[in-house]
Amino acid sequence: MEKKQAVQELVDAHANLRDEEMATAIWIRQGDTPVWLVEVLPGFTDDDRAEEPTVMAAGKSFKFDLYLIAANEKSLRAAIQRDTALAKWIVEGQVVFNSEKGKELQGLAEQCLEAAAVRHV
Amino acid sequence: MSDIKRADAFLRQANADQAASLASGIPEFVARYLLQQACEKALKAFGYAKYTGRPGDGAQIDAYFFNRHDPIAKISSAEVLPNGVHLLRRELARFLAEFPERVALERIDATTPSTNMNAVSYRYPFMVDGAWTTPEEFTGWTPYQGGLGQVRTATKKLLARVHDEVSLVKRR
Repeated sequence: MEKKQAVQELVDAHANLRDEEMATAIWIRQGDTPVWLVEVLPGFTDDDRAEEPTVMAAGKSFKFDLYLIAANEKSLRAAIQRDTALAKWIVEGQVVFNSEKGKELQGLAEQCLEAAAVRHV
Repeated sequence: MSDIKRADAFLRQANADQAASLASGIPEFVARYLLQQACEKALKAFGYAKYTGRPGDGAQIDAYFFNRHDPIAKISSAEVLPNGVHLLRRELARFLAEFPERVALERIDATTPSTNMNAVSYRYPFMVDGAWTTPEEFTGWTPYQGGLGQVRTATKKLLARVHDEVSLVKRR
């Protein structure tokens, strides 16, 4: 199965889980062999290290190692603001669930990168 | 990455428990106890193979999953979970959603040791309708845990699925 299709199926499965609202999902670092996903999960508690991924090994239903950055929106926004690498990956990423919220986060990440660039001038 | 050697050891013991449950002449309560043990260890093998929490998440994941006799029930029933444990619950839910014997497996998972004297036990005497009975004397195993054939089937299929998952991780 093509990687892009596998990612979309995984995200759709996450979006359809019982009792688990997902606000958006962004596929980042698309050129990497493992799959890197950012998912915004409103049910998550605040997390001051949201940029650290949790790793799921590849399996029968998803054949790629998954590096998952999952957080509520507040924690993810804070992570984007303090981690320029994450901001860059999000800007370059592909929104794969709920494009409106995903693009809003990409806009925030872009602003953070611009602000960081100004600081370095 | 995942703790694949530990996963493999848990799966080996799950297989040993299942094999022991098939020995001829053993009482039903012993067979059922061994099958519950096989399921519990297989689920933990799945967790060890698939999941790597972030540094610092280990104690919480142990408390909600790996140190439990009823890992599905515990992780599914908690309303608020630490984020790392939450992701393991989601991964487990996705795995179980594709498992045709999910309901049977959840019943087996829930039939774990209890200190409640009114709770059915595989190992200790307990109270039924105000009278002490023993696992050996108890006749209500099917309403309690499901038919023995159904329990055997669910366990066998779970072990096969987890074997596949562990094998995939081992090959990487």
